[in-house]
Amino acid sequence: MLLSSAAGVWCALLAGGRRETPSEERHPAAMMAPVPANTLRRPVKPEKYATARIWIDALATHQRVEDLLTLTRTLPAGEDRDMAFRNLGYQWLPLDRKATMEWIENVPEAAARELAYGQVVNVWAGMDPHAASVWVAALPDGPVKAATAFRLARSIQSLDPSSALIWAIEGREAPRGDANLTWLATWAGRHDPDACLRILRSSSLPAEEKQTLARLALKDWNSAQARSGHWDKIRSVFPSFSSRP
Amino acid sequence: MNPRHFLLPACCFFLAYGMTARFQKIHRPMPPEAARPSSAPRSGDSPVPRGAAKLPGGRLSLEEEIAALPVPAPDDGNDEALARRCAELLPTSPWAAFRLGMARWGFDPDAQRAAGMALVRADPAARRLLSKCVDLRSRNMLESCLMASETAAHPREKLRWAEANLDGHVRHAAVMAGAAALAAEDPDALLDFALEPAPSELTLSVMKLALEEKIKRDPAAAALWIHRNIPEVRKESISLEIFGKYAVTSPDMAKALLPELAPELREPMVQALMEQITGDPDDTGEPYTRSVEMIQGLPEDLRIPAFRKLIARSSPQDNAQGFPALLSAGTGPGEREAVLESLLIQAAEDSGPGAAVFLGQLQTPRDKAAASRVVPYLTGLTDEGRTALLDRLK
Repeated sequence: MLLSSAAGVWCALLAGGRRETPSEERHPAAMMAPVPANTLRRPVKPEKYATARIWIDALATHQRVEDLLTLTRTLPAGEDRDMAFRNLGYQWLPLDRKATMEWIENVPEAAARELAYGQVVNVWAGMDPHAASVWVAALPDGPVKAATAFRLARSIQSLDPSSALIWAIEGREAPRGDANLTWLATWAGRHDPDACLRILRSSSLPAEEKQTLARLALKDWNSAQARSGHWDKIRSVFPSFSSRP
Repeated sequence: MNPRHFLLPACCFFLAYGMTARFQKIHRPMPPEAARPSSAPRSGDSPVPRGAAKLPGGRLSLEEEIAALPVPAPDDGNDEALARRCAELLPTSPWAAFRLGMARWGFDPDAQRAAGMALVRADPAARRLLSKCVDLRSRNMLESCLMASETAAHPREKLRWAEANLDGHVRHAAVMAGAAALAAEDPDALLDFALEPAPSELTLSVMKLALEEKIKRDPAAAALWIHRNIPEVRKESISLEIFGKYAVTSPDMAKALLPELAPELREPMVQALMEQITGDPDDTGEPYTRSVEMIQGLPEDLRIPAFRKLIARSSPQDNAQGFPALLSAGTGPGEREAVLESLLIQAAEDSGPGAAVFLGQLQTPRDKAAASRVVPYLTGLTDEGRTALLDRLK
């Protein structure tokens, strides 16, 4: 009899423990602090919003993270959904980093993940550039990492031009990565030409590309010195990489 | 089989099932009415409890008021009606004001923050209201207000903790509130704090807060701190910001500080002083002439960078008009050449009539030689453009 009582308790726990779980609850979004169920609304674009883009933009402006999250799962693949991914990554991170990172790692499509990663790293680098850099460094090599490195480089350029140049080199395979690298080499050169040349010299870039970037960086530096009248600081624009380690 | 054998197991089953159901929240799928736009809240997603009482005198309850407010246009940054009503509610009922912000979007976050801060000040147990916030944004806002209030009240104890343990908007709000409190009390302690964490936008903002206070108390020490501790890449912009505010409140003391500054900080201070002249609403004189006069009053070694700054921040038209005054003021060693070089740099980048006007005014071989010196470094020109310019200066 005791055995059958124990079995009864076990069955009851199993039956009582099963929860009716809506799809939202299984999603990492459910890991946010508890939100009353009636606020997990499925957003429907109101008529006054002429396009889905304006609607997404309005949701993002007002940090309606829950609605954006639902949109990323209900919109068909395309530009509107991409926009929702970008905005969600950007708006959610400063509100709840842990939940955002758990969500982002479970985004199944690489292209969508790349969009979200790019925005996340933008915000995160503003908050904590060191932690954001460590996170990007740990990503597996590939196009997503390149695109994220590209974004990180742009985000930290005003704080640390030399590190930004290193990330731009890492992200040069991303779309527009070459233009980004050129800009960041000139930017880094404008602030610290020696560090810029050192980074270029030790990089894995082709020798010809190193030369081109070094010339651009020094031209920008020289131009800034000319503007300030520091003629003595003008540098040769033809540094030789082969003669130095 | 005796039916009594099933009695105990059955009792255990129902007892355990009942206890599980009681203590574990059962989640059900969203009701159909929940699937509607958030811009049209009804009682279901309103933070106001159902059945809110009518106010005396037949006025609308908060819930009805929320429903009656117009929905803002999609391009509206703010919902003005909502912000106005929030301001009315704020002195007497900050929680009602905060709920307004939660219930309807199109709401100015600054106004909701003001409501949150008023709520936290008025209600020492406001933390319990976090569970009544209906979305992440509102909850985060209230949490930010709670932490900001706590850190501002005990900056020495809580500032480091907030910087190290909080995250996102909450961290930013708490650290900045604590920093503002500590800056007023002891800017040196805040400067020490700002140097501890790795540089970030937040630590730079904290440094700026501390320096704005420090420069009022000990300008030379503040300038020295900038020189030693602000990262090179941001030194010019941050010093310009700090000196700019100081030049507005204490222009004479700012000018007196100039000779004591490290060379790299002199240009930002000169620029700050010029901006103070340009932005002074009580000054009826012509700003360009006043700036030239100010430069003439500067120590000799500061006049050349000051001329360069003035030219760079003025329009080509203003520079062309002020050209005679500039040249007559630039009498010291190298000043005339510096003026010409700077004018040529601007003229070469100007697609308007500035370049032609300027080049037409260069007559003497000395002036042309000074201008020619700059040409090779003008990266905005093509090789052909540089050659053409040099030909004109021969």
